[in-house]
This record gives sequence, structure tokens and C-alpha cells, in this order.
Amino acid sequence: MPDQTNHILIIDDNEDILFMLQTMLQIKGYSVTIKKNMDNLPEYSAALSPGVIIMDMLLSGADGREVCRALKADTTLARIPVVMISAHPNAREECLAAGANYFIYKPFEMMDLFNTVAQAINA
Amino acid sequence: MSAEIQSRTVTEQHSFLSLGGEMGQLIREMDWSANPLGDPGSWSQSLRTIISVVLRSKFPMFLWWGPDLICLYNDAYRPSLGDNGKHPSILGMAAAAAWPEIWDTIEPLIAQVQAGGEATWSEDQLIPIYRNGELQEVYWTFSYSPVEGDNGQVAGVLVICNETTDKVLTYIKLEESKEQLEFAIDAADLGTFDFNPITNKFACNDRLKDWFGLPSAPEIDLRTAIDVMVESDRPRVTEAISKALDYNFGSYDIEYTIINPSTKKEMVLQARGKTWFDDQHIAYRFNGTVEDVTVQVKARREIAESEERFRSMAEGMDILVAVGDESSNASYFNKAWTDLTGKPVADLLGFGWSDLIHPEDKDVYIGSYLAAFEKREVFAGEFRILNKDGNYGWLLAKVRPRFSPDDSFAGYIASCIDITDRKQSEDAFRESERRFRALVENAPFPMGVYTGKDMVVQIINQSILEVWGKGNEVIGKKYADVLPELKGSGIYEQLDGVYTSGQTFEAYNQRIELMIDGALRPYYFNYTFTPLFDATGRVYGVLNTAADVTDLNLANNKIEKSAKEFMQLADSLPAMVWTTDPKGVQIYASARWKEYTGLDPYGEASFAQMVHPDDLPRVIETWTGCLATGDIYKIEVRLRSCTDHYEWFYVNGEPIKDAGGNIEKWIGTFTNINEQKKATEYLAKAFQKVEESEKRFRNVADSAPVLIWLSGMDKKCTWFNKAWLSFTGNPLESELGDGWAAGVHPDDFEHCLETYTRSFDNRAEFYMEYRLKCHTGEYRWLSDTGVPRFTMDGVFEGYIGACMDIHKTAIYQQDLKEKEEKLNIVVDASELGIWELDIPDLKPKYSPRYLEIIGHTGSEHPTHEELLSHIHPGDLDMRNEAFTIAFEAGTLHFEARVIWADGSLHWIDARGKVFYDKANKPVKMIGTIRDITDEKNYQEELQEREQKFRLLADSMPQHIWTADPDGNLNYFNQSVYQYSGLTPHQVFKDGWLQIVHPDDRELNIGAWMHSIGTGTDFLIEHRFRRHDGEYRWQLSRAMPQRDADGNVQMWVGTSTDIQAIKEQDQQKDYFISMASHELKTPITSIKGYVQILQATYQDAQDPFLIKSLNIVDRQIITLTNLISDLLDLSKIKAGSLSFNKTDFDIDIVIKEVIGEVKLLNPAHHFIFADVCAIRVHADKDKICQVLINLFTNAVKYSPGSDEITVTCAADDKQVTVSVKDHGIGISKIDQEKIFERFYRVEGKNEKTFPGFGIGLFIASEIIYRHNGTIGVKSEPGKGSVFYFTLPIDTTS
Repeated sequence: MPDQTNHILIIDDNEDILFMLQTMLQIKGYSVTIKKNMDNLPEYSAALSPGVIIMDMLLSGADGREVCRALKADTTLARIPVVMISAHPNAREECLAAGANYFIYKPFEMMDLFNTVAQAINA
Repeated sequence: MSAEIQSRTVTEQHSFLSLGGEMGQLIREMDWSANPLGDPGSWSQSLRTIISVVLRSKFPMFLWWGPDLICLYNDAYRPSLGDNGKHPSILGMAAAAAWPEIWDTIEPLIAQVQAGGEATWSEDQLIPIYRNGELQEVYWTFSYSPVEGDNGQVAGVLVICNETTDKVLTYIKLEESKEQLEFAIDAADLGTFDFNPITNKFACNDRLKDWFGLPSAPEIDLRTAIDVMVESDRPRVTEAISKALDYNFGSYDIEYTIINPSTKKEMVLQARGKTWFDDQHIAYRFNGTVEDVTVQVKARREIAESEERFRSMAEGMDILVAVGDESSNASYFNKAWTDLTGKPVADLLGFGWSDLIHPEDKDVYIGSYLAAFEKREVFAGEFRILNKDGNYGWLLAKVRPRFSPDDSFAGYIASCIDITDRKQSEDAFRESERRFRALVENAPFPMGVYTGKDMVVQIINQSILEVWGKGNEVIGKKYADVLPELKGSGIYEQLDGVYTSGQTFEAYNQRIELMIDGALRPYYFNYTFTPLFDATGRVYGVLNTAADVTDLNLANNKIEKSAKEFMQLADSLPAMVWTTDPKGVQIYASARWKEYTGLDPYGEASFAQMVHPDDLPRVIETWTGCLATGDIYKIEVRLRSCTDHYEWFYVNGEPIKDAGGNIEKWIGTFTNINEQKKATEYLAKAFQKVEESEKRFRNVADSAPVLIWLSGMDKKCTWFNKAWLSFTGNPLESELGDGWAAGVHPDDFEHCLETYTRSFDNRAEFYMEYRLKCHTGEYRWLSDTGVPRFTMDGVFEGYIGACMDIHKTAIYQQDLKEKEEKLNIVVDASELGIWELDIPDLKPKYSPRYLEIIGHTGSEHPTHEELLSHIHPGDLDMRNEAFTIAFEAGTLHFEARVIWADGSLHWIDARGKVFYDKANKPVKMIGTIRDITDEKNYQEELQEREQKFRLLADSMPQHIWTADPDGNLNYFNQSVYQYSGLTPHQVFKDGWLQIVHPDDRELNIGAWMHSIGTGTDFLIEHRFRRHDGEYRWQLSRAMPQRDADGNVQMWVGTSTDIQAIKEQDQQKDYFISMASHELKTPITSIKGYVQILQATYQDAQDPFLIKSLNIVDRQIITLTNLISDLLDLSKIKAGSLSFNKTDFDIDIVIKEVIGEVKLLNPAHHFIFADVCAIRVHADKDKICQVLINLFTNAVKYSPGSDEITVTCAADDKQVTVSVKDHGIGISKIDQEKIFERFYRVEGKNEKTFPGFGIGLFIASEIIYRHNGTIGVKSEPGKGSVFYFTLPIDTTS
């Protein structure tokens, strides 16, 4: 199994944001997998085994917090750092409460994203 | 050589001893040879010098010289030695011998001067010395100075001294006078009291307490003192006190007796007092003095008793006693007078008695009285007086002047005895004389009566005229003139002998030659010359009987008849007539004898039996003597009557001799002189009593410490006692009459005279105070009590007065009065009505103000019922209830309506205090009332207003409520009950908080308590439960209502249903929240792509591309901030702004934020001095937000300036961050508003400064939520300084 430490899984239902994040992280040299929904995310993650998961809190039809809890409940997946992103007020507390390791408010500085991801990978 | 020559020699030799007056001479004349100082010629130069100084000095000096301290002194010193003392013996004497009595005192001083050479100085030192024959206390001021001898050593001590006894004594007196006030009372020996009529208690001085045996408490119940008085005095004193407290009287002057409960000592006290009344005539203070008058009263009583004794004695006597005053008016008559005359005493007074004198006697008697009166002589007189039976009776009056012990004339006293009987007997005498004359004239033998020394022919009968050969013309002529031819016959001598000796002369067969028809013819007669005695036993004439011897038988018969007639005559006489044989055996006694004695006149021992045993020896001796010598027998003797009592008789007996000169028999009379005797004795006793009484009175008065005067009926003073005279220093004579008035102070004279005259005319007692000139020339205040004097019969005879020196007391009382006046003003100012109610008889007393307050007019002294009738009928029950409570609780208080006489309604506030007796029964209430109509009207007006307010409030749709200053809600309008569905009872029982949403209660209570505590407006949004259970939002406001002084009177609050507004607001906030969230997604994209572009083209050479991307990036940041603010705002409003507090160094954050802001505003220059690390516990992002806001504002509002100064400083409690710009500044009004919610200032500044309010509002919210403060200091045009503080958490 290749070293997936620098591989980042990004989940967002907004394609513009998804593409933006992908571009930024690729610029920084990370390998990126994008996903537009939360469907089967635990299995997906288990198969992909990314170094970091970045996901929006609220996707149409899915609550990132519940998914995050499911990930963290799975002993094989719990080790993968989760960075959650949202523009919603109070999202930070709720996401961290759901087990997310990091949180970034929208809109954000690109540097903040880089710092956070680097921190998550090196943790 | 003589002493004189010697002294002259000394003088000549020693000039230092010249001059020096007496002392110089004494020294010169003294023999100094034996003295240690030696002859003056040998005295050292030092001594010579000093002694010449001493002798010439006019200042008292004394010198001790030499080791023996020989005494020398000068003339000026000499008086200090007095007389009969040390002078001149101590001259030249050694000090120790000269001053033995003070040697212990002065020896150390002398030694000190001799040893140390230092002069001493002693002032006003008490050094008693022997002078004037005794050891006297003398004060000295003196100095001892050393005097050097020729060798420079101290050889003597010079004393310069001055006697300061007078000065010191004066000083001591002065010291004493400092205690003047107490001294005055002390010296006057007065007790003082100060009674408070309101409390019924009094204070008094120690003396009074001592007298009464009162406890030492400062205030004493009046009853305690009353109980000490003798029981019989208590009602009188109690009445006097209540009278004194009555405005119409006000004064108190009473004498009463007390018995000290512990010592049982009885004292008579004279209490005087005065009551102080307020303007309503209510007594508020009653004070005065009490004087111990035990001695005076006892003296007075004794005098009265002695006078009483005199009077009762005079009354009891059956002699008539009258007393006249010094102006000849009769002022007293005893009962015998009224018994005799049947007239009341009043008719007899003055000269009334003289109207009863028989007109024939009146002028003579009055004339004699007045003549004797002028000369102050004793006189006696007889006059007829009209008796009550309408007949005139005879009185014998003996009248003598009375003198006071000081020898001043006091009037006359007359004692009269009824001599009607005597007069009647005199008349009888005259009648018998007439019959005697008839007897003589009709005698058949020659008979004649010749009276007087000259033997004037008084009665003569025809028979003798025939013998003489004369006619009736001889009557009234002298015997010798009628029968001159008998000269040389011895008959003249015989008659004279009978007249002078009182002895009968008889001759037998005497040849007498009588001139008949011009020729002498011889006749032979047996004749008798018998003396005639008057009632007093004096010979007044001679009875001549004669008989022709040739007709002897016939004549004998005639004599026998004559003797019989004599006896008949004797029997008809009122006096007892008796005859005895020559040996004294009684042979005849007139009928009166038997009548009186009841004894057989011929019994041998009868006379001896009837004589008083005490008189018997005297009688026997005299009678025996007379029998032996034939002398006329005269004696006063007591004879026993048949009723077994003794009466005084004057006995007169004389021998009847026959022609041969032998005693034939004794004839005598007994005249009853009992009445005279008795009267004389009574009189003597009466005079003695009167004199004793007067004398006793004056003696007592003289020894009394009070000043006493007496005045007569004419108001003039007749006597002053010693105390008075020594007070004024005047002799009695100059004070008598009106003389004393000259000493009265001119200012007091009129009042003094007026009081005296008015009282005198009304015969009333008086008390006055005036100033009288004392012998020192000082006017001193006296109290003067005068009472009228009456005789036992109630006849006024003048006044007696007693004065006390009350000078100090008067001054003290004046002072008191001033203080009282002050108190008075206070009471006046209170406008209180004062009342008093006796509980048992419901008798009210009240001040005029009281009647004014209850509006009473009409009756001047309304009864309790009348007063009650003023109380509003509706308040009567309440008033009665208040009294019932008062009797138990002791105090009364109620408010009631009263109806004035004019029908108007007024309010009173009544207060009172109950006084109880020993049995704890209420006896009295004293209290006040106050007119509170104005207050009540005000209260009613308030209530009316309140009523109006409620009506108004109830009609309003909002919830309206009120609270008291303590925050207790006390009113809710109808709207509250309708909304909540609760009843007023439920709201007040369970509290209003029950309708507040449980989540809001804590906030609500906190805000409400804050407002109550600070007095600031109350403003809150909270939810109230509606009747259907739904909670609806309310905006509640409350503001305090303040009085003129700014004190909170009440709170008035409103609550408005803002549910609809609140819902709209929530929707808006939700919208804003959602909108801002939705906005963030595109912004995130834009921002992200711009950053990608910037990153991609950072090395590109196209400047436009780079700049454009930078601008887009910057605007996105601004946009992001605006959205962020908008979001925060909605969060604040929703209460959901949350904080993520961490510890960080604020100085570093400031630097970072400055860096960020500078990036965006490169033109501005930030100045921030490095500080050491300041750690705070806060939400870092939010603090950044605040800093950004302040920095960007500073930039924004200083368009003309580019310098912004940031400081950061901390103490141990907080950190302060300030941001100073040099911009446009902010006005005061705006300063107050810029931290408020944005929409408030919106529209006002929006155009000029878009977004101005949002940031500062959020910033202030953030800082407040950190428990910090935020503020601004600014002036328009001068820039602003914004600052905020954050607490430094020292615990972390």
C-alpha cells in the first residue's frame, strides 16, 4: 500500500469550492481525491486510506457531523485526521464536538488551510 | 548726766540716727551698752548705712543684724506690730526671742538668706503674730534680702514687708462671692423648688430635701412631698398649688407644717412661688422658695396666745375694759361692755362709746380724757352710761396710758367699774343727810351742824336760834362770826378740837354768855360737840346739841328719842353702822350688818368670826390699840358674808366721849370697798398681761432674723424691729411714720405704696417685692409680707409686716425668668394646644390655644361633654377606643375630625400621657393637640389624585404597575389581570413573578434590584404568561417618581406586549444569519480563487493583473468583515454570541493587528511602544475584532492626519488599551451614543460615516462580555482617544 500520508480526501457538494480546494492543495504538492457526497464514506475512506479528510459540515442531504462521528467510531478510520469547514455560525464547536480534529471557517486564508493540513499530516 | 542730754549727745555724734521719727528717737534713747550690737558709736559702717536707709524709708522695713539677729525697724513698719504687742519691746532684741510664735516659719528663710545670699520673696503669706493683746492672723507680702557687712560677709537680713491682710481677706471674700447664686439661697436659708405641672414632678435643692426627708433623686413626685405635711395642712396646700397653677391666680404663698418622716422633726415652712404661663395661659413651670419660719410662727403663736390670754381674761372679767390706740380712738372693748350697754363692739369703737355717756357727764369726762391724753397722764373719772335696760348706770373709770417696751406711747387702757350701787348709796347718804337735816331742824332741843374747818353753820334748828336770839340768816356763816361774844370762852377751841381729832366733846352745866338783844346774858348749858364723818371716815363737821340744864329731864327724853332716831337713820344707811361700849363690846349694829353677816350683832365673838382669818391679827392689834388710846380706828378688812364669801370693807370707828372726856362708846361704819379692790387688782393684772404680751412680742420680733414692721390704723408705721434697723442702718425715729419709704428704690416706690395702700384699705394680706436701701448704700431686694392685725374682737388695728432679704434670689429668679421666656418661645412656636383631664370627675383644663384648635366659641369654660361634642360623630368610637388603650398603655394618640362652631371640618392630632395613683388607677391625663388639617387635606388630595391615576391607568391597554421605594409592587392596572387571568388576590398572594417566564426571572430580579438600588430607570424585555398559558414578550420600563428633594417616592412601570415585534425581529435575525451564511460560500470561492491566482501569478510581469488581484482580495476582506459583523450582531441580539477564551499576550496581538491594518492602510503611521508581555484570558478572535474596529475607525475618521498612537498598560487588576487619533473628534452628544445599537444612530450618521455604529456596538458588547469597560475621550476637531480595559485574571 502506497504511502497515503500526503493524500487528501476532500468532500464538498459545491463543485467550485471542491475544485478550489483541490487546486490549492495540489499547488502545495498534495495528492487529492475529491468526492461530491458523503455516500459510503467510511468504506471509501477505508479503501483510500487518505492522510487527511477535509469536508464541509453541511452537504445537501447529509450532515458532516454524523459522518464524522461514524468515522471516529470506526477504529480503523479513527486515526485519520478530519478537517471540517463551514460558514455556519457555531459550526466550530459542533464539529469539534462531533470528533473533527480541525476546523476552518469559510471564507478562509489559503495560508490557514495549508497550515492546518500540514499540522494534521504531521500530527 | 541726764538721759536727755545723753541722747542729744548721741544724736550729735551719730547723724545716721537723726530723723527716723519715733523709731529713730527710740534707738537714740536706748541704752545699747549691754546689747550685743554695742553703742551706736561702735556700729560698723554697713550697719550705719543700712539703718539710716531703714529709718528714712516710708516703706515698712525691718532689719535683723549681727549673729544674734538684733531687731531694728522703722516707723512705717511699726503699725504692723499693733498695740499692746511687741512694740517697742523687741527693738534691740534677738530675733528668736522677739518672734517666738513664728520663729519656725521664718528661721529657715533667714538661714537661707544668710547662707546663700539670695533674696527671698513671699506673697500673701499667713504669718500670725502677737499684737493688740492677742495672736492675730496676719497676711504678709515680704522679701528677705541679705545685707553685707564691712567684711563683705552677710551681716544682716533686711525685711521689706507689707501687711496684706485686708487685701487677702477681700480676695477671700471675692472668692466666696463667686458662689453668689447658691450663696444667696444658702444665706437666705431658703429651700427652692421647681415644679413641672406636666409631669407633676419637681426638683428642689438639697436643703429642701433635707427638710422634707426626700430621696436624692433629681425629680420627685409632688405627692411624696405632700405626704410629709401634717394631714390637716394637705388639702389647703393642694388647693393652693392648683390655684397657683391657675392663670387667674398664679401666685403661691402658703404656710404649712411638715414632719420629717425620718427625724420626726416638726417645721413650719413658708412657701412662696410663682407660676410661669405660656401664651395660652397654660402653666408650664412653677417654682419658688421655701423658708423655715418655725421660729417666727412659734413666736407669732405665742404672741397670739398671750394676747388671747389677755383677751379671754379681759372678756371674763366683770369690770369693763377698753383699749384705745395712740390716736385716742378706742379699739377694743371687752364683753362686760357689751353686756352692760347691750351695744355691739363696733358701735363703741373710736368715740362711739361716748354717745352712751349721760349728756350731763359727757363733756366733763371727754374733756378730762383728752386733757390727760395730751399729757399721757393717768386719770380717773365717773360718768353715767346708758345701760341696756334704758337706765343710766354709774361707771368709775381709771384710765392710764400704755407704752411699748421701747417707751413709745401706744394708747390708753381704761378699766371701769360699775359704781351705780355706790352712787346709789351716796344718794342714800344724801337722802339720809336730808332727813338728818330735818331731824336736826325739827329737834326740840338746840341742835346745829357746823361743817368745815371754819365751822360754817350748815343746819340749825329753831330751838338753837331761839337760844342764840338769831334768825335764819346765820346759815352759811362761820360759827365764830355768828357768836363773836364766845371768843375767849374756849368753845371755838372745843369745836376745832372735835373737828381735828374726831372726838366728841361734851360739857355739863357750862356757863355761856350770849349776846341777846344787844346785851350779854348768862346761860347754863349741857352741850355736846359730836364729829360728823363722811363715807371715808373723814370728819366733815360737828353736830352740836345743847340743853338747858334746868330742863334736863325733858332734854333727856329728847335725847333718847334722838338716839332711837339715830338708829333708824343708821339702819337706813347702806353702810353698816355699829357702836360698841368703851371696851369694844358691840352694843349696836345697823340692819345692814345683820343682812350681810347673818350674825347676831350683840354676840361677843361675832366680829372676830366674820373677819378673814388672815386679817384677824391685824384687826385685833389695831382695835386693841385704838381702845387703849382712843385713836380713830381705820382699817381695811375682809369680812365674811352670810353666803360665806369674803368682801373687802373699810372700817372706821371713833370714840364718843362724854363731857368729861371719857370714852362713852365707839361708833363706826363698815363701807364695802370690795368692787374697788377687785377692780384695782384686775386692772393691775390686766396691765401686767398686756405689757407682758407686748413686751414678749417685741422681744421676739427683735430677735427674729426677719425684718418686721408694725403700722397703725393710719397706715403709718409705728415700730420696726432691730433687724430692720440694722438693715437700713437708720435709727427708729427716722423710720417711723412714712420715714421708711425714703429708703425704697424710686422705681419700686409707686408699686410698693400702691400695694400697701390697696391691701390696707381692703384689710387684705399682701406680698410684694421691692428694693430697699441697705446701710451700705446698696439697694437690695426684699420680700415683704404684710397681714392686717385684728384685736380679739376683730377690730382692725393696723398691719404687721415681715421682710426677707431676697436680693440674690430675686436676681436669680430674673435670670430664671429669662430662661423661662426662652422656653416659652419654643412652646409658643409649636402651636400646640395643651389640655389636662382629671379622670374621675372628667374635669378638663385646657389652654386657649386648645379651644382655638377645636374651634370652640361661646362658653368660656366648656365641660368635658361640651368639648367632646366637637368631635366628629364618625370619629367618636375611634377616640373612645384610643382612650381605652391609653389607660392600659399609658400614652394616648389619635387623629380625629373636629367640627368647629362655624361648622367647618378640621383635623386634630391628639397625644397624651396618663398619670396613675398609687393603686395604679388613672387619675389624670395631660396632653397636647395639634391642628393637622392642612396635612390631612394634603393627604386627601393625594388620595384623590391617586384615585384619578388608577382610573386612568385601568383604562389603558398597557400593563401599568407601581412600586414603593423599596421595590415592592403595590398596584397593577386592570390590563395586568385581564392578560394574566389572575385575580388581584392571586397576584398579591403569590407575587407578580409567577407570570414572568422562568428563564427570565433571574435577569428580571437582577435588573429590578439594580434599579431600586441605584434609582436608575428600569428597562427589560421579558416574557409574561398569558391567561392561556402562552408566554409573550414584554418590554417593561419603570421610572422613579421623586419628590422635591430628589428622594424616590414611588416607581411607575409599564409593560408593553412586544411579542409581534419580537417575532419579526427574530425572523429578521434569522434571515440575516442565513443570508450572511449563504453569502459566505460565494465569497469563500472568490477569495480562494483570488488567492490561487495571486499564488499562480505572483511572478508574473503584468502589474495590472497583480494590482487587480490585490484590490479584489482587499475588498473581499472588507466584505467578509461586514458579513462577520452582521452575523455577530444577529448573534448578540439572539444572545448566542459565544466566546472561546484562551490565555494570550495582548501586546503581541496588538502588534499583529497593527500589522494587518497597516497592510490595508499603508498611508497611516501607527505608533506603538514596546511593552513587556501582558497576559490576558479572553477570546482572542473577538479581541482582534475589537482592535481592528478601533484601528480602522481611527484611520477612517482622521482624514487629515496619519498618525495613530496605540498604548497598552497594565496594573495588577486590568489592562488598558487606548487608541489615539488626531482626527475630527466626536461631540459630547455623539460620545454618549456611539456605543449604542447601530439602528439608533442609523440615519443620523449613516451618510457621513457608513457602518459607524455596528462595529463599536459589537466591540462594546465584546468588552462588556469580558467584564471590561470601553469608552472615548474626545473633542470635536481635536481627535479622539478610544480605550478599553480587560480584567487580568490573577488566578490563572
